[in-house]
Amino acid sequence: MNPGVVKSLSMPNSSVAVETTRERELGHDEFDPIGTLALIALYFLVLVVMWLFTYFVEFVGNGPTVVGVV
Amino acid sequence: MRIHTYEKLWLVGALVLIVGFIATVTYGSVGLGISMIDDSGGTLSPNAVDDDGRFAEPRVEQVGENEYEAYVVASQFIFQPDPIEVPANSTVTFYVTSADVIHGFSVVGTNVNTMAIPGEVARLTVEFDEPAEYGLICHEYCGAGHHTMEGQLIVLPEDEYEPGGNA
Repeated sequence: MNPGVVKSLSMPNSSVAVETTRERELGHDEFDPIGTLALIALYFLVLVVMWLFTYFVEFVGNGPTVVGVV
Repeated sequence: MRIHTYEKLWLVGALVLIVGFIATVTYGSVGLGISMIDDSGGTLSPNAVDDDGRFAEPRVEQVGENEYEAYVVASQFIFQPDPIEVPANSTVTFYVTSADVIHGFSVVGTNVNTMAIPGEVARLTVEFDEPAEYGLICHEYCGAGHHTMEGQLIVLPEDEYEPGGNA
């Protein structure tokens, strides 16, 4: 992510090292892991579809079911 | 505290998912009437199942128009009565208990199943709309003959059903 920081970890004088070897600075909102977002969104979608399938198709569609007053 | 936009998305998504899970289960319970089996069936002496009026003679009994009660005793390695016969378009309340060890009462291919526990009565209500033949198996290991413990649940067309025919 930030090569400067990674390099500095192996050096004794890290604070100086960070300053001198930092190649570019990323602001809080500039960090934009769009690939990770896409992957998690896909995972989320799979989860939602699986839940709907499990509940409405496999469970509710698999009657008879035990019924009663709540 | 500054939260990254993606992190906010993730938090909202996670919350939506949790609310969604709860909403579907609530819909199932309130909208569809799906119920859990609890201890409302009560208890009886596990050594005197035969002395209990309900289970002395395992049977299916008509208790109202289209309403039936089935008293089922599970024991090593049979279900009584067998087969259990009920008419289609009926609401059947099963009362299931065990005369010896813990058994299972599972109507294969459906969501109808419970444990049959000595000393306890499992009460479960089921609506049968269509004629069908279901297998009934014990799904709690109950001894050397567990794998042979099976029965039948037959939902007969209404005009073919004879009350007390399988007592």
